Amino acid sequence: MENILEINNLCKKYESFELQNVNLCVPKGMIMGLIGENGAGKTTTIKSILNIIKADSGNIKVFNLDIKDNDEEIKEDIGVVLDDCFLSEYLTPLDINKIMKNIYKKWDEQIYFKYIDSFKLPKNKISKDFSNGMKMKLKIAVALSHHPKLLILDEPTSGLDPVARSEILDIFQEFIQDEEHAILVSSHITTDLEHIADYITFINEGKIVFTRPKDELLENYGIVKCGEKEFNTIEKNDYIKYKKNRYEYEILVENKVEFKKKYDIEVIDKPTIEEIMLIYIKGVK
Amino acid sequence: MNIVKGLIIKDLLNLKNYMKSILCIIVFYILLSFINNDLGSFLTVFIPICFGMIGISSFNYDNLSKSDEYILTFPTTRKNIVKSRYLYIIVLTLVGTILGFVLSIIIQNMMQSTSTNIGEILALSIGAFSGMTIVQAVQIPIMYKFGAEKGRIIQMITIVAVMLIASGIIALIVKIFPISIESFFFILQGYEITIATAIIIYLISYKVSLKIFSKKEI
Repeated sequence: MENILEINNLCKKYESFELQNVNLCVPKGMIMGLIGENGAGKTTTIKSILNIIKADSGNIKVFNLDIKDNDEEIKEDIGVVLDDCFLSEYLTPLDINKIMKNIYKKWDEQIYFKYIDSFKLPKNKISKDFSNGMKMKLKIAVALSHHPKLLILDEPTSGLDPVARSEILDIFQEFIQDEEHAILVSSHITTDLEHIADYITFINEGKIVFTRPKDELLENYGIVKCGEKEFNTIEKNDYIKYKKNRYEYEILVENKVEFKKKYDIEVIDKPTIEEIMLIYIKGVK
Repeated sequence: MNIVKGLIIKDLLNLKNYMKSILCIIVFYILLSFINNDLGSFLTVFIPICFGMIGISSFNYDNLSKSDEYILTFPTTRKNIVKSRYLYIIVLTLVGTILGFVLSIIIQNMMQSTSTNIGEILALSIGAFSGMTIVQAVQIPIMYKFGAEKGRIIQMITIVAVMLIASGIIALIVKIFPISIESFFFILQGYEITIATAIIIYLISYKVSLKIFSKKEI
């Protein structure tokens, strides 16, 4: 499978935070979900890909080109939504069209206004008066209107109501249909990623904890719930981490079928991505 | 080059929101000129300074919406981003200068002044344009270095510093060379020299900003 995006051993050190040896691949036709706490390194990773910050070491390739030498060419084909930065709120969707058609060679007015119409955004109002959801839709419309091959989305569903959210998620699904495109999307709304992502990468304290196919996470992983007595019978190698609650232990296991064969414990739940993330962060080994 | 154009359009479109306030201020001062019987010479200087300051305020606009970060995702170089900002600011100052010049002449004519002194107004215009350009040459790199937030305070300090240093240099020149202050300004009235000096300083400032911005991490 060909990768649209490839990050190798990315390191970036700040005073209070460090991105350590981040490796990440996004194959064509896939949606990669990037999850992690605030401050885990999601945005730093995304900014490194976009060459907004410069990595201390490691390399990043987009469309098989090194970002250091092909910055402009690469960005022509990337659509970007960044969490809280955009053009000035005193611009109208019409103004933005006037600006963007000079920015991207492949800017497509028709597509842009098609999105603006379908999102029911007023063309002639400044976006300061928009609701959060409308603002986000405007950003997404802009990101989609120059025929990008890769979408990089930082928290694209925050502030959206459920209807708008599913609308947007559908658009993302559609985007990757042709198998030539890909999406890297970071979110802490993990349920969104459960809907659309093909792969999940979990980043914590600047390190990649895992990259797994989403289905594998949801189908194979399990959360064992048991009392202290049973917990003591479990070997350390057979679970990832556990969390001790008031009345029971929650134990994250990588393969619930295997686990069931070995131990006689009744309750093994199918986890959500959020639960997996929580036990990884809060749990102990 | 298209992208430079796009970025300048962005700044111009941002501007339209306070176009009304700008017009109000200009109309107010035009009226004031009539009342004061001031032959428009105040406007000659005031409008270029006003436009120049509006130009610098584009940094605040970008800072407010974090556009500076977003713009870095565009398919362009940091050089083009800095270039567009420098072009935008100097063009805006130039437009202000021309507007000030034209308005002053119109006012003088309307007040049926017996001696419309185009030469004097032209000298004022060129002085205002060159002075403002030099001030901006100091301000813009500061904006790039410290950001629009911190930049504002440092800006004020530097403007005072620039004025003190400039007057210091003039005093020194006058002291060393056997010329009077009047004749020093007379030399400066060689318009070409004044404008050329301002533009050269502006270009040096562009290089400095480019260096700062290329290394900057947002």
